[in-house]
Amino acid sequence: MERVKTFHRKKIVFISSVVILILLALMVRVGYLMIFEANFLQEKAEQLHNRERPIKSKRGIIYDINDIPIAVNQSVTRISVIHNQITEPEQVTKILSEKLGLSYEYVEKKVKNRVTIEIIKKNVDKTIADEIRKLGLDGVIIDEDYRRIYPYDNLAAHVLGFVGSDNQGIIGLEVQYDTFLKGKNGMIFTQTNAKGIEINNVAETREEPIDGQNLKISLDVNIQQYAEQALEKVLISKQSDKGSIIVMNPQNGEIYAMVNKPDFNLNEPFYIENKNLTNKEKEDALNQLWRNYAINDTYEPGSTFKVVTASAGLEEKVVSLTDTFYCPGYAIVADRHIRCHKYGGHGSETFLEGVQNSCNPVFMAVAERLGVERFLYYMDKFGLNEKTGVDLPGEAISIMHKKENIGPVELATMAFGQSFQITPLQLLRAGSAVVNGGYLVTPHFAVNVTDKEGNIIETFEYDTSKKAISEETSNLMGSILESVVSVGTGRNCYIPGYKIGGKTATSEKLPRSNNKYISSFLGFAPADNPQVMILVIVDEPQGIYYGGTVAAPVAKELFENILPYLGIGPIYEELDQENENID
Amino acid sequence: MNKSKKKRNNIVKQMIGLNKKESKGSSVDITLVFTILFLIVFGIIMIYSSSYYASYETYGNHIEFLKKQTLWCIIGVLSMYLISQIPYKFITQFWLLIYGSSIVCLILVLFIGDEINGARRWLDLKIIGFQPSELAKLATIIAMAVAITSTQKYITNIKVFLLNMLIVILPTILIGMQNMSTAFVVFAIGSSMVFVALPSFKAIFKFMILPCGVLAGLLLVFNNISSFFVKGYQMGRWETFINGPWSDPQGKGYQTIQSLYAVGSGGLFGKGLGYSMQKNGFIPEAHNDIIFSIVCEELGLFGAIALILLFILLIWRCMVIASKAKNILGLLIVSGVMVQIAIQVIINIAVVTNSMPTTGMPLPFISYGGSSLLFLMIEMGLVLNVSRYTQPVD
Repeated sequence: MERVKTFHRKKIVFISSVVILILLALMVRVGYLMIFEANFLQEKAEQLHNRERPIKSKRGIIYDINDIPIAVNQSVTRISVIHNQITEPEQVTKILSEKLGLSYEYVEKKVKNRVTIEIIKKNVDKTIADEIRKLGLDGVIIDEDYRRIYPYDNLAAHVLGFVGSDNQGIIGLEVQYDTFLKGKNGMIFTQTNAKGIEINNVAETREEPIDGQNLKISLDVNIQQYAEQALEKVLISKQSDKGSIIVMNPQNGEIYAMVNKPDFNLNEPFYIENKNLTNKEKEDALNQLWRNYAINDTYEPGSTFKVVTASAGLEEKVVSLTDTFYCPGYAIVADRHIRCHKYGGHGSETFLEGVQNSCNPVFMAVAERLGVERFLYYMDKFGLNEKTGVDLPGEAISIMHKKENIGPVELATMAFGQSFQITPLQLLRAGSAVVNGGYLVTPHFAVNVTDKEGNIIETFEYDTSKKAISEETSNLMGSILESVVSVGTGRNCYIPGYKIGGKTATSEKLPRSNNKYISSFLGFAPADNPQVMILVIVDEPQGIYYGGTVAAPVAKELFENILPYLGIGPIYEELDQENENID
Repeated sequence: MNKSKKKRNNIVKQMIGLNKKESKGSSVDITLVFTILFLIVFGIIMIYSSSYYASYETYGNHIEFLKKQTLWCIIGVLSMYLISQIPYKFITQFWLLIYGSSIVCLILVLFIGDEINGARRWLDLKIIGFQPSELAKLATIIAMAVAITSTQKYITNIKVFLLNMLIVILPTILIGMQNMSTAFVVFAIGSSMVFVALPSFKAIFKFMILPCGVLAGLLLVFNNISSFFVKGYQMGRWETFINGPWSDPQGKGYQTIQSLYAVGSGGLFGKGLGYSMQKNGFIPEAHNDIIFSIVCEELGLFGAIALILLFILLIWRCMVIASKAKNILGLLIVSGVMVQIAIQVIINIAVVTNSMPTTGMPLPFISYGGSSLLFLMIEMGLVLNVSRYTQPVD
């Protein structure tokens, strides 16, 4: 057999040298990839492997003034699917659409979506989730979640507001104090395999969720319930569609109750009775339903506004209690014939009697004595050209004449609360200033913010520094308005043993020819040191529409309940008994 | 001229360690034995690590692939030992039987082979899946070695040359109908053996360049036609390579991108054995052709270089054994085996590192696969066998 010759060896050395050279070149190539391209490739690879999974934070609880929870959280679940892990897409689609009450097409679209994780439905009840879990479907993920629930359903719906599917506030206090309430979602950072399943041997990093802080508000569930029942009753008896009641402490602006009817169930804020609406109509209807008339809408306050005109007149000393006026049932201003509400007129009367009678010509005269300049000055002083600063979103701005457009006629109508519009809460704030010693309060709900353990984190402070009128004028107004209730138009709010002050209003809605009215009553007690002020507004009552007849009894009923509840008992004086005897 | 030639010869002798006189009947090449054993143990460890996820997905336990490969390793080592003990001259007597049966298998697989990804490459022998192309590599080495040895004197005769080349071309075409890269390996094995046997570079030019060029051209055309009609999956690999894998990240570029992620994630020292992320389903069948990328990811640049160095060591030992072989039969067998391993390693690493278009090529000793490992071990048995019979250098 042939022996190996040198040329054989040369060739084999040649071949092996070539392949070794190529292998060395590949080493360089590997080195290049692993050193110079490493950052780029690693980053890309990590994007592929890393997953972030949110851990829901618990939203803060809202407590009323007596620490009764009125907005709480319920543990629910979130159902999602992981596309890669689904083995039987049709069955998953079928079961999920049935169990979750979703359309087959909707679930199918989500199941077929080639993303790592797709949320099918949030806020799913635990019992339903357990049923789904029992079926052991591949690729269906059930996560713990929280759902906002409101134990009192409709109570203070417009005030509290509700949250959206991501637990973010949508209206009311829920959105106003969202930053405190929402907390911060945590995050789990993990690495997953190609199917999106977490890999066990890789340490997961966790960012713990921070729960939201609790909010305490001045609202009192009991007072709110009284007010809601009272309003509901009057709306039914007067066949009215809507109305509002606000109960506030005139000394510091704490709102005890704020009611609007019609209202809605906070646990089903998107429910609407009429099913035959287009999407647009439904949206409009919901927005209407969610409106907080007490602050979002303006109206002509009518005679309740006379407390401001009277205060201004007394403060400027253009009128005194004993000044006499004559009311023929109308007044001629410029060339206009403006009538009083009493046909035939009140005849000769003092200023005090004018207020008790709510006599329009008397207030027109006072406004005329003040003049446009000073009248507007007091509008400003009583905060009627600014927002009240209440801690709710969407407060409306008053609608006023421009100063240069105010002639004698405009001034005359403004004197008894017509031809301009303010929000009910603005009126309440001005009314507070009239009787609380003369200073403007900031109406508000929020008292303080506490953490999970109940430690106070922030106490809210509100401005009460602006002075509208002097204390003497305020005290005087208190007794005048007390007499309105004891002997004047507000008689229907009289409660033996209590010093109740107040002013009625019957405003004719625009256009005047429609003969539609808003009946209202602004009342406070005790008159010499007001602790509670109530504004009752009934929109378009049927039948008798006078504020003194429609709204004043509502306020009376409320006072009867609220005053003892707040620890203010009746004091029977001789005068009261005399009055009772007279009645 | 003569002086420089002598100098070159000396360099060659130094490279292969032939300066010392060696006694007859030396024992097997211990370095090579340890290199092989090291490689297959390393392979088993890497298969366990890289198939950990895929095994669970397929079989519900983490060790299924490990178990099978370990069994094949044991069979392989035993076969290697057995073959290394039987004189290779005896084995090569059956060259026609071996070569003939490999051709029969190659034809059979075209008709009754299991179709995977549009190509028929596997014969289902019930117990094991068997790739006739792996047998064909061994058969080509043996048949070519025998043929060239017996015609060494007339090797420069054109008819003899063509007859010898026919032995390679037949399996090349049969394999090429299904798998271009394996056909290329077989063709490279055979033609490199002819190359070694040709006495001068002049003769090489005369015989090799022209026919090789023609054959390469024919193969290319043939492949294009067949891929046009038979297997569309090969189309566009060149395109994807030239445009870069990110031109089609979810399609043809997917595997390359995933492989590059693994390579790039390793860094200098790797994530540690078992800590590859890419094996978790991102690289499909990470224990197969792409296993080198998992080596990079888990053991880093140092691990990767160490592995390549092991292959260089293996090739160097083959070169030494071939040069010291007692006769050209032994030399040709060893050079055939050496070329096969070298080309497979090169193609495999080049594919993993996106240095050439994607193709399926197992990494010798490391990639998962029973028949591939078994035939490799048989070939290594032949090489060890040759190493036992050395000649003193003249």
